[in-house]
Amino acid sequence: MNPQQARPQKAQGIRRRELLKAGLAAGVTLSAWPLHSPLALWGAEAGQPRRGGILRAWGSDPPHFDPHLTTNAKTHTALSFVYSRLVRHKVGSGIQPGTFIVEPHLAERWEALDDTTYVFHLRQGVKWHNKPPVNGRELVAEDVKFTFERFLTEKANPLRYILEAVDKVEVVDRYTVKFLLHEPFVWLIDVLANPVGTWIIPREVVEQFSDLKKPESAIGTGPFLLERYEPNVKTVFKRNPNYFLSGLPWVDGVEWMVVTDPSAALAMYRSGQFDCGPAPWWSVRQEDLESVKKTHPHLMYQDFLSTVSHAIYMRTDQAPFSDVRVRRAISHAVNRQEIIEAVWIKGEPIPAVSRGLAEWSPRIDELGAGARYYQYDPKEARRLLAEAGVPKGFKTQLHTTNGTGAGPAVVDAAQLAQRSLKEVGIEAELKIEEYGAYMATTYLGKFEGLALAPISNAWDPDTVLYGLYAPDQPRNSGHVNDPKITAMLKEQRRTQDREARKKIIFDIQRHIAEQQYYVYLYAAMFTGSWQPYVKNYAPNTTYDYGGRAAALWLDR
Amino acid sequence: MREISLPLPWSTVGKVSARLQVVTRGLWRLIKEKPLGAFGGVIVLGLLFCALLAPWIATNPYDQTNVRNRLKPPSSQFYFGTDNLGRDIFSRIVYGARVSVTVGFGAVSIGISLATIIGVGSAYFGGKFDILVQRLVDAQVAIPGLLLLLNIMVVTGPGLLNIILALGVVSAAGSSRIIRSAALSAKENQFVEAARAVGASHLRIILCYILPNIMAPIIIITTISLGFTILIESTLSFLGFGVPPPYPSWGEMLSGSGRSYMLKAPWMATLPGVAISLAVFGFNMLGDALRDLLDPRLRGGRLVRR
Repeated sequence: MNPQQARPQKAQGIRRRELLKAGLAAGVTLSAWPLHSPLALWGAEAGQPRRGGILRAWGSDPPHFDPHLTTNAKTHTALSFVYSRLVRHKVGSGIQPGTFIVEPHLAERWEALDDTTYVFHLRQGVKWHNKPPVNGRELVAEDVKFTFERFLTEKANPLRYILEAVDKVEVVDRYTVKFLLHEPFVWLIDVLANPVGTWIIPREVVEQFSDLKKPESAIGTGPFLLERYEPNVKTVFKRNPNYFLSGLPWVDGVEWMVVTDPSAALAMYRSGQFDCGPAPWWSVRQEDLESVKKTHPHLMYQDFLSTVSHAIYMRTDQAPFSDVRVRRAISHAVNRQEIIEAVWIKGEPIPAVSRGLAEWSPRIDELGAGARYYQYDPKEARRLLAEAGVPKGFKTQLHTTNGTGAGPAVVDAAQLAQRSLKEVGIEAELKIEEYGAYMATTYLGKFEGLALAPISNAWDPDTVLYGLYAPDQPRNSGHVNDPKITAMLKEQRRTQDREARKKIIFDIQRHIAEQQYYVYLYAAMFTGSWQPYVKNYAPNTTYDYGGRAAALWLDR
Repeated sequence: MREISLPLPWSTVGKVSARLQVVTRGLWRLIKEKPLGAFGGVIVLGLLFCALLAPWIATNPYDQTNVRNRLKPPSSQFYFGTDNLGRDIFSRIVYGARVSVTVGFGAVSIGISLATIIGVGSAYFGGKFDILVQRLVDAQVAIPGLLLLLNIMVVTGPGLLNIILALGVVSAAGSSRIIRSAALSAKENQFVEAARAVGASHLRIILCYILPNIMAPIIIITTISLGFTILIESTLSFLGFGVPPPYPSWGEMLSGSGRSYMLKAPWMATLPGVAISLAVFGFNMLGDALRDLLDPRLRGGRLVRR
């Protein structure tokens, strides 16, 4: 008998006991937490949750573990297993990818006293991981205050801009904190739910280690404890028995494995060594999809449009890119459809906010006057260049990076764009940068000429618009300074009414499409995939792999 | 077989035709005695030919993308098929030969020149100078070559010139050892002593009396390291430190999308791989044959065995 057949038999022996335990856990949770609980839905859809098993999944190697010292997704995805935040996005099989529904997490409820004062009531009895120096003490309001003080005062925090509206955080009582803002910022709750840098951290650990870069210093209130970190091999997480969502996580642990070669990773998924897809967002790469579907039709597949925007950006503060005609010419010169087909196989051209975040992203034909620049039209591009006084084109550089986790795709896209630009006379020398170097220079606007890369991941429209367009922002890679956009950005931040806010957000994107400060290209289509025994899981494009891993169970 | 080492009748025949005769005779011996070496030579010639005449041999520009023609298998239109961006792989391999040849010859000429200066200098002057130089060489040889190269490439950044310089400098230390040992025995010859006795300068002795007598090992190291250098260049390009795309380099064609599409379009990775193997094979076989032909000791050895 081969081992694959042997496995379910062994599992059957455990099933009864596990079922009782799980049933008990579910019962307790359901009675204690009747309305918010998505468990009721899950139960109906995926059968009874089962405890046990180790989830083996595609992961990445974090440069370090301090959430306040990097924007690097590799750090934040790893931290999502260890830490919790005040509010979070819902997870589980009922979630449509590209929707980010905020739900209570460490804060069980909150209220806005006025435009600039928010009060959060913390869940009681939440315990830190049982590791020195916190040793499983209770999480209190003081911890939240400490976290955001460090977040806002740490000079090296590249994420500080996302909460720059926050003036200070005050402790009201042991379980209540108050956020005081400089100015109205309607997106506060959404930003606090974004799984990037908003994790609540304990004071003692920062004091003992002076920063949180070491794996031993990753101590949170999250669903998993960091058990072992092997650089460039894997990070091993162990189930947190005292996790505050009772019963969760269902799995005993997670192996967050680093396999940089896409073919090797795919082979591991095919042979069952990975429980979820072997590429970013636990997907199967589009170029492999056809053959995997043929040989493994029993696997689960779900298509979703990424919330990541790819764009060509440029020094809009320098000639010749300060001339709108040059930027429009670049937009006309690039054949978006060609790059989508050749490199990403499936995808969609996008305005400033990726079409993956459908609620806040207009279709190209809704962009008004700016929509025409999305047409591939080299003749018009040459005409615009001539009009701008550079009829023969010019020489420049095109920066890109090879380390986004998408394999050679981004560099391939850059080569296609480079070729198209050459056709209209723009000779761009390709500069390929290592991911770390890219994040520290080009991404922060320290470059010359042009760059092509994924530039933003939109879980809310404000972060990607304000960050990339407000003139004082570190993320303003293109050095854009347009008073009209800045004013509209400020206005939507104080507009409580969702429909009115949406209108401003759409107007901003129409203006951007006309100006082409960033030449937005496309969002790629991803196909999330997982083994059929992985239950209560749906892919999404946030870094909260830990939250999704805690909600799923393995029904082997 | 032995007549080639007899003094040549310089006075009776014109110098040019005599040299020509030597070359033809040498070539004939290469083909007759070392057919594999001759085959290697043919590959090397083909490679040089591709590199020199790339624009005329290639059927398409190397960066001509055409999405409608992506991932086409080899056919009469695209001899080696097309890659995922619809570029003609045959043309890219032909242009890729330019990178291999430029890096190969560039790096080896820098490396051998440096190695000769270090090796001959160290051997000729000897004493404390020799000891000091050899310890420095020891220190460099102790560091794994690829590691050292990667570090240099990280600091200098990718680019053709950077690879050539880095490879040249890194390979010099190893070769200098062989050249030094050859020079050590060459300088003990009586004609060197004689030259010194009539008051020849150090430079004159090295250039006119020692160097010509160690040419054989130098030529052999050159051919052998050419193959090795091409392989290392491919390694560096494979790791992303090579010539920046879209300019094709065989190593880069193997790594990037070549690997991603391994199952769907195997020609994308295998054909550049074959090109690398052939080039390295060609240089190694030629180098091997040259060593056998040029090294009198090896020749003697074979005669004894017979």
